[in-house]
Amino acid sequence: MRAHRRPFRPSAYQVYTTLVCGAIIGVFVRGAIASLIAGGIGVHGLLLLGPAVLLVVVLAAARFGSWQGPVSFSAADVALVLTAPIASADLVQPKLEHSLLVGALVGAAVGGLAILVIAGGPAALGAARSVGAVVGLISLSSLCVAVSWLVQSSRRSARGIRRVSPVVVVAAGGLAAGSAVLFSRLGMWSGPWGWSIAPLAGGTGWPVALGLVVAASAIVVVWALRRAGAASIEMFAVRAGTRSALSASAWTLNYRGAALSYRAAQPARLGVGIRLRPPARSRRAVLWRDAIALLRDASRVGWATLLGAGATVEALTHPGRLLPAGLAAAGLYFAASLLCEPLRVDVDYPDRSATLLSWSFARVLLAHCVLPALTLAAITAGTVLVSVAIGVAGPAALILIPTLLIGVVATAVLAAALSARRGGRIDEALLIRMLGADPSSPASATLIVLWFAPWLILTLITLGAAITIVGHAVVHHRSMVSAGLLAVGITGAVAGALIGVARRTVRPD
Amino acid sequence: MSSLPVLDVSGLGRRYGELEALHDLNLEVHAGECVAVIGHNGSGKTTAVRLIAGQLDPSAGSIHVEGAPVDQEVEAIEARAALALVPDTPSLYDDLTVREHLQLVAVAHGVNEGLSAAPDGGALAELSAAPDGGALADGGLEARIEELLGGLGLAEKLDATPGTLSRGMRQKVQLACALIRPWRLLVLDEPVVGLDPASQRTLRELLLEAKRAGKAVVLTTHQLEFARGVADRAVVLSEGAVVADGPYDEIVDGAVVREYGLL
Repeated sequence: MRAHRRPFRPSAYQVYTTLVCGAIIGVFVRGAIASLIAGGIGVHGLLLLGPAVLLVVVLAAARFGSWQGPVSFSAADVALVLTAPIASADLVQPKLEHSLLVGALVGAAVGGLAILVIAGGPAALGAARSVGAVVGLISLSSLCVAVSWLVQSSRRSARGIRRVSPVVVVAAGGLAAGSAVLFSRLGMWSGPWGWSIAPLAGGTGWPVALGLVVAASAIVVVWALRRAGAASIEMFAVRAGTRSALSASAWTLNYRGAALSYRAAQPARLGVGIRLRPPARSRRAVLWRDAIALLRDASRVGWATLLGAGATVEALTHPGRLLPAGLAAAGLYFAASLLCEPLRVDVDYPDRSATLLSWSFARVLLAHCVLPALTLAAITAGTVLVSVAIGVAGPAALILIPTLLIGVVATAVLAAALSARRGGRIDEALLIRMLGADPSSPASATLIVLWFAPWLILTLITLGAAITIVGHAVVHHRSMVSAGLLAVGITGAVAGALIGVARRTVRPD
Repeated sequence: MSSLPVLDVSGLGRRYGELEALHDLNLEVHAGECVAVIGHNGSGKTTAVRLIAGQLDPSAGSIHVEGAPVDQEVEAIEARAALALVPDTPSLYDDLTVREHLQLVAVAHGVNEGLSAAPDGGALAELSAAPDGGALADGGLEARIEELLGGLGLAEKLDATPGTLSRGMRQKVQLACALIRPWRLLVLDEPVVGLDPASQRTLRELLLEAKRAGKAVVLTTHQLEFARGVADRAVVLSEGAVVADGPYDEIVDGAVVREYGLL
């Protein structure tokens, strides 16, 4: 293969555009670094958040391996080269080595950037620690690539990593909290994600930590290289198909298609052993069907819990501020959106529910909202209770459960359901109009955002306003009764209007 | 036959842009009658079926099931409650088992509550609802599901998901979903595609039983021998238009079928 590779000779135009783009990006990066330095990400911030963030990065690399991974072949390569009588290790190893090299370069770049941003430059950090910082992050990024390949080459690992992902995210949150409350260097000594930043953080034990991350990385890299021949042709074929499908979906702005392609590449996660007794009442049929779907895809509930609980904590801990309120509203919307997946499945093939259920589409849509609303209400109420119990929020927050919660949850779930009803692909007429115009123009971008996200925007405005009004009253010791009534009125009115819209929906084409 | 047809199609037409997929279809199907719609690929059979099931909007004409209009805009709930459809391509949920598909359809149609159980209590009604038209006793639905799937050769696949089944098996699950619920008009689009000979025989028996129980059946097929002895009438479609309509044996043994190369 190597003999037939064409030498790379960039044209003058390519050189020119690269230089111009590089200059523009360089200006932005320089500005960003300057603002970060001015913002003061110091050693304390690094110790607090660094290990947690890097643990999530390692998890992301492992999850990437569960559906793509660092070694890929085109569909043609799979059909013509991988099926030839050549040992697959001989074909995989060069690609894996290439990915490890790219990973090491990225690690070096991040290390250099971290020295500038966190320590104010190599002079302030000292030569030994500067080299150590770069080596630490090279080791961690190489470890990420190797872990990603180990997951890619083993179906069992791919299934396992998806199962433990929510636990790892919670553990990352726990690391950050533990570093803040218990011991500031807890995260740094918690594993390779912490060891890798020890030279940046300083202290007496950093050479030991650096040695540990280099050793861990070397072991995992050698293990990964030894498994170069372990992957199956089927795995590469599936991933090549996924890349093609994702690319096609991206070019046609079909995010539902992209999500389905991504999901099809995931290891099977059906827990068909879980059974629920069917209800006696016909009106509970869809609720029962949704419960089965969520039980068989428990990670969806896990992610929704993380988002919903995070959103609630954000709203409780930053009362009266617009941005946290908006973030909380977005978190609740996306949690509801995750829980509305069974509705999305019915929208994908609208004739299926028509054939099997004989219900009006509006009835199907509203029935699909019941379980997400109950689940999100339980998540939100549970988070408020725990927050009050551990002192994150005052006892006054409990009043939110019987008052504001119903309207907030109903608005988030109905908006997510109405968004799901649209099917997640851009309207053909709009796509053609955009392709006729300049797709990168502000007008086209605005059109896309307005087309894709009207229900998200409505949720941000409604819930953001309600959360801000109540928070504002808390911060400024205003009348909680009038603020609460206003917030409940806003969410109640919007939820009522959304129910009206939902009742008039018809089956999508 | 009663005077009010179970299915009444009048002047039905459907255009896809410039293409006229179906033109002026008139069809009456009475209780206890089976009509076979036959024709080449692209003759308009599936379009006709999807229009009758309310899955497509007609460009012209009207459809009534037991007097209730089939109209996608108002979603034709009354008509749908009487009409069971078996589409040509199985469309099932990936995350539900075979058993759960049948449970879902039965519960959604009120089989457990006896809301819309078969009124006649005929032999086939035993497969779709409590024989007395009332609610099934506790465990009755389970027994009925097992009986129905056993008859279709799917007894071993009760707890399998559609992804693990062959196309023919999925087609049988789709058929079972139609039969587990109460219905008075059964519409089958190419029901024998993917079915093995034994399952084809079972399907024939089920259709004959349905006719004896006073139910109406509309089916489309390429396999003329399958419908012989089941279908009372044949409607031949060519390029979206009806070119022949009459007793099944006369049509299939006559010149029209040979003229249009359907044999």
